[in-house]
Amino acid sequence: MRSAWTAAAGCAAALWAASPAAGASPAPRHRAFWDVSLGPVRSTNVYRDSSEEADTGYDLRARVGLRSRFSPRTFAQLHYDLDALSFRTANVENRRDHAFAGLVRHRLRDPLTLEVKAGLRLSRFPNVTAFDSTTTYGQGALKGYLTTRTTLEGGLAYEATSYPDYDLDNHSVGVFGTLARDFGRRTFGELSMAFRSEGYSERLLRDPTSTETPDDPRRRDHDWFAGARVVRDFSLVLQLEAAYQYGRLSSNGDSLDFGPFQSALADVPGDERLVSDFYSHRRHEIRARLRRLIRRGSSVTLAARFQDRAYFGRLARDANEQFLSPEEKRHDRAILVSATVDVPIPVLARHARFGHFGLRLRLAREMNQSNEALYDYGSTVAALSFTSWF
Amino acid sequence: MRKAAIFILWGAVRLSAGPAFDAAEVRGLLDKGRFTPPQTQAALALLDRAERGGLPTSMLVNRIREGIARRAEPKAVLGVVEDRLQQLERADDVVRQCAASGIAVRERERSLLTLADAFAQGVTPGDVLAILPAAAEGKRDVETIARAAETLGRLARKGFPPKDTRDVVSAAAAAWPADRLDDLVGLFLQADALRLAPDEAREVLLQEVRDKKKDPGAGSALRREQDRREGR
Repeated sequence: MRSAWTAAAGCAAALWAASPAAGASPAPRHRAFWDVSLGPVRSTNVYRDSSEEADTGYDLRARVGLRSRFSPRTFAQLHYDLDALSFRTANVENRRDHAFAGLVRHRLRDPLTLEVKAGLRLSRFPNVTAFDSTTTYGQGALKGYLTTRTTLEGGLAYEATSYPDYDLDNHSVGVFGTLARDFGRRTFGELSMAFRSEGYSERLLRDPTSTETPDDPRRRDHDWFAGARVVRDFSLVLQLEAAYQYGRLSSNGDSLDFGPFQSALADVPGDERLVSDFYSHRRHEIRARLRRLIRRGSSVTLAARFQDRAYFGRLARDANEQFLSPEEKRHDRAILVSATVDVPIPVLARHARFGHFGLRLRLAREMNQSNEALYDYGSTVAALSFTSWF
Repeated sequence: MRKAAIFILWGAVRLSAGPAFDAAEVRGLLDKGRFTPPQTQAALALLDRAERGGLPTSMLVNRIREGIARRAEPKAVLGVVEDRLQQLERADDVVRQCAASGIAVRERERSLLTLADAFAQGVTPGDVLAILPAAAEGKRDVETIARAAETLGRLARKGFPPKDTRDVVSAAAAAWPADRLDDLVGLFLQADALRLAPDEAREVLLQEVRDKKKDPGAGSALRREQDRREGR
């Protein structure tokens, strides 16, 4: 928690430092903003697993904040996010996330910009308080123009999450980079990569020999990805975006399976089994999004995502929580398709002096094909939201 | 000297514009549409007023023909023709002011019709006159002004009132070829999709206009804004 306040103080200090010197011109400009969507949501599978519990609830996403331009070279933003999802009966994973964040962007010299972000996120699960967590994060990046149409951005990121009543405290340090190019003729492309090293201070390894540091046998993950994204404007109102990403997580984390009887070690000793390389996996992901802008506040977006995730050591289990026979490593293939329609509310859109007031209808279908019975599922979500932004 | 030449040219064009309508033919048309004698007189008076103003009467006659073909009430047809005539007269005023500002007047009739269409969509002469100084400085012709007014009208139809779009359209009219002004509709929609407030959209789009003036294929200010918003 202390690091959270340190991050918040650092953000405030950065904002202060970004203020122009006395007498500098032009005067700073500040703008308050909000972005809200609130409405009912119906899911045929709230927990997104084989339980297939259907329920109706509500989804609220709100952001309010202040954007400030201190000078032509310096921009800052502070905002608060509230993200709440609540179902009536399938309510175990109901949650509320509160996040406070700030960023400062400063042009150091003509082709080079520095951006610093920091934030604090409080995740609250009213019905499973053990999952409550506090996350602090910070990120610094430099972005420069290699040519008038090519940019290179790179930076460092830090994140720490603590669980007061759960042994999943972790922190991570990462690097990331993006090379982007505007090819003209309404085509834009980018290559990106990121690497993150995560340490779990409370997760002792079951098998101490699997760590390089026997004195400190704790779980450590190395997660990286590389990807490419292309955006093509077929016209100024019709845009197609396609992306591919390859990711790989290497972890020394293991897991103890309590055996066919799923008993505590003291009851039936000898049927337990240590599953090493439990979290390591690779993933391929392909995404596509087609968006058509119709009029002010009106758009239609179709999106699809395919993800193939294969674990290196994690054994798949059947519906009775037993390893498959013959044994198989867990392998998931997920497809998500969605359609979103935004329309303005006619009367409010005409008479509101500022801001946007609209409705959003979202339909999504997810199919996850997995040899792990619990995660072999399908889910359909329909949501209608009142939206407003300014 | 240049202004005087433009005035003479404009006057000559004006005298030759708007071919006279055939009164007998129009009477036959109105009879067919079951116009009463006073209504016929009113229609002919409107056409006469247009002809005296050097406005394209054929376009008004076409409106009458369309109304009758759709079996509209004569009173409604008269209302449409009168509205259209007022729009053409306002367009004519704008064209005069263009000429007075040193803006070359070519394709007068087409420009009048385009301007009148824009006025029909809620654009006001004041919105268009606000474009003139920048356009005159950029040595644009009246067709560009008309295309700019048409763009203001199309933007208004898409939900962007002229007060929010005038500055950007004015800058683009001064800097871009007339046939690229249509792009502004898509650019305003893109800015709206980024949830930019009207003044933020104006700022980003003015930058877009400046960037694309220097290099039509240059990186987009909107794209940069989108990347910032999405944290890329």
